[in-house]
Amino acid sequence: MTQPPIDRLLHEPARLTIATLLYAVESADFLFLLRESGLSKGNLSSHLSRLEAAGYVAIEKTYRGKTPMTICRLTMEGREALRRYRDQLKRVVAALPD
Amino acid sequence: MHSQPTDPLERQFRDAELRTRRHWYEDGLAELMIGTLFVVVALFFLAQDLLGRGVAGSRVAASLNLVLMFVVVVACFLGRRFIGRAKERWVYPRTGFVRYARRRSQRWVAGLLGGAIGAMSVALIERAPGAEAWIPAAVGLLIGGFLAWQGRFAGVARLSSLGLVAVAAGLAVSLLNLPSNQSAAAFFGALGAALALSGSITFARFARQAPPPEEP
Repeated sequence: MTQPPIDRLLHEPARLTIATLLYAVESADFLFLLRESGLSKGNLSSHLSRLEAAGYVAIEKTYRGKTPMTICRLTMEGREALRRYRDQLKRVVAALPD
Repeated sequence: MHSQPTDPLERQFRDAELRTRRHWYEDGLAELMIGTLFVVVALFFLAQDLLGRGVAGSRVAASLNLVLMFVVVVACFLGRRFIGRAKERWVYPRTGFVRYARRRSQRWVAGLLGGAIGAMSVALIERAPGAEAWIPAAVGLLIGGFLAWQGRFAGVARLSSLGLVAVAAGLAVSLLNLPSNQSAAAFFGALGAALALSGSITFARFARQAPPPEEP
């Protein structure tokens, strides 16, 4: 039986880092992701846009007091895609010859 | 502390989970506030010991009991919100905001811990007169166990150390065999001071390492 192709969007290390960080929480803001991922602002922004375009991440621009905030959340689709990717990769690794 | 998964992807998942949990403790505000609450509780017990002597004193002691219960209940209900407000002011602008998924297991553990402390204290007083001297040791063991569990859960070693402090404080106070109010005041005072000190040092370090954002 042929394996479904690996999700190329999540296979990229920076996007995988963002997705795993968001997987562990309900939501997080841009600053948290910036600090924890170690990416530059521009890089993080462009990866988030790609994840948002795929429907994996929902982004909400809001204010906390007078401070603007960008809140990011992994959508149900994104969580499912990440679980699928995790399982696929496990299967691929398990199928490798010793 | 945790057994590391060998699979790199699993390791990445575990690491992300730990980093997000650790984020809640990296500023020390939770310890600082819980420590302060324990010191307040200790002051109530001390006041009861000092003012609660004689007939008039017993009325004062009863009123203080009610006030103490009110303070603890309010702290339980509003504590997390209060810590959230403090974080909103001092932490989120520096290191970012995280909303955690609600974990039922943690609430259960906290509820069970409170219930266990209450039930154990009543059982010790009722069934074994004289055994009440060991209440601080038993309470210290429970709080210490909870702190050690939190330390392991979030990968924060200082919480496990504070767990040891709780156990040591409980044992030491029990061995001193003080009257009950003095013993409660000594235990909560010592543990509260340790938590508040640890929280203050952590917060000072956090404020130094993560300066406030520049004004746009």
